[in-house]
Amino acid sequence: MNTELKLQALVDGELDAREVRELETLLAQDAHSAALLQELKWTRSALVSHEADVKLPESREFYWSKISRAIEAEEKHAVTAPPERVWWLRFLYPAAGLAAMVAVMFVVSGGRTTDGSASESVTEDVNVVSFRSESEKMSVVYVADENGNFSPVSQEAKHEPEAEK
Amino acid sequence: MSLKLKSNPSRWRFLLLFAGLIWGVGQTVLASVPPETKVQAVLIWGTDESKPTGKSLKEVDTKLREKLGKIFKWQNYFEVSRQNSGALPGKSQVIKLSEDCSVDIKILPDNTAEVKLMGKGKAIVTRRHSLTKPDALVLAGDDKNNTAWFVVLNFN
Repeated sequence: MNTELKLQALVDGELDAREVRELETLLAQDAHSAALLQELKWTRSALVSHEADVKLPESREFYWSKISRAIEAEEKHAVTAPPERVWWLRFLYPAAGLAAMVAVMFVVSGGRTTDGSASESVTEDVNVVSFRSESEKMSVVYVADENGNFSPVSQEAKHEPEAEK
Repeated sequence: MSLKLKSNPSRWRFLLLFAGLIWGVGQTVLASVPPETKVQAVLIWGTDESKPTGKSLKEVDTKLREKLGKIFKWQNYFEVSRQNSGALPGKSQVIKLSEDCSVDIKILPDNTAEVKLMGKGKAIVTRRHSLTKPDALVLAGDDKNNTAWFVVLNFN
């Protein structure tokens, strides 16, 4: 501890008897330290004697009762706001975001698959005419077989004049 | 020893979360099962002549007859065969309509049906048909003696 701090401790009465004696020996030899000690004593005296005398405008009991009421009011407020509400509200915003994302994906994928899927491929010896009847709700693919080989309806099922004759 | 269900908020919260988890797992399992698309295929013969004697052909129902009659020129439409089947996504489903004719149907991921008209084991025509509209798909062609054949496919 340096000399200045020891002098401050002496003024504050924080040194034991041995330290006080050592410091008094030093002060007898060092005029600068003695002057500093005197200055510190004056400062302390000035602070103690001129401190403003502030008095609480309310009684001690009334002041603490106000603090007690404020604490009780806060506790009551914490009880009326249930923690469950806060709990599910935390999931509300992520859930809403997820729902919006799914809706966007649904719209985007739906727009891509509605039209343009009607297409056909045919063998070389077959010509095809395709059209859609809006009124009859039918998509028609008419196959013109140049060789006339394809006949899905069996001869037994048809009325064949040649076979009957 | 008796069990008491105390009104503990954390316990109720746990039960709610557990129920939500079970529901979510159930929904995931249900969603993973691909839905089957029902297919009805009807082979029809169109002619201007009257019903052949001694044949077990029956006329198509009035509604379909009217629809075909508004598009095609033939006066009579007789049902040769009718098949109902189901098609799973990604799997080919072959529906045999006559000795020489069948349709191979495959449901594609983009909600379309790939329909192959097979004649004597050979693909005559392949058509991709959108399932987003309620349209019937009609594959048709000329037959002998100024008649015609029709394969009417309905999906739902």
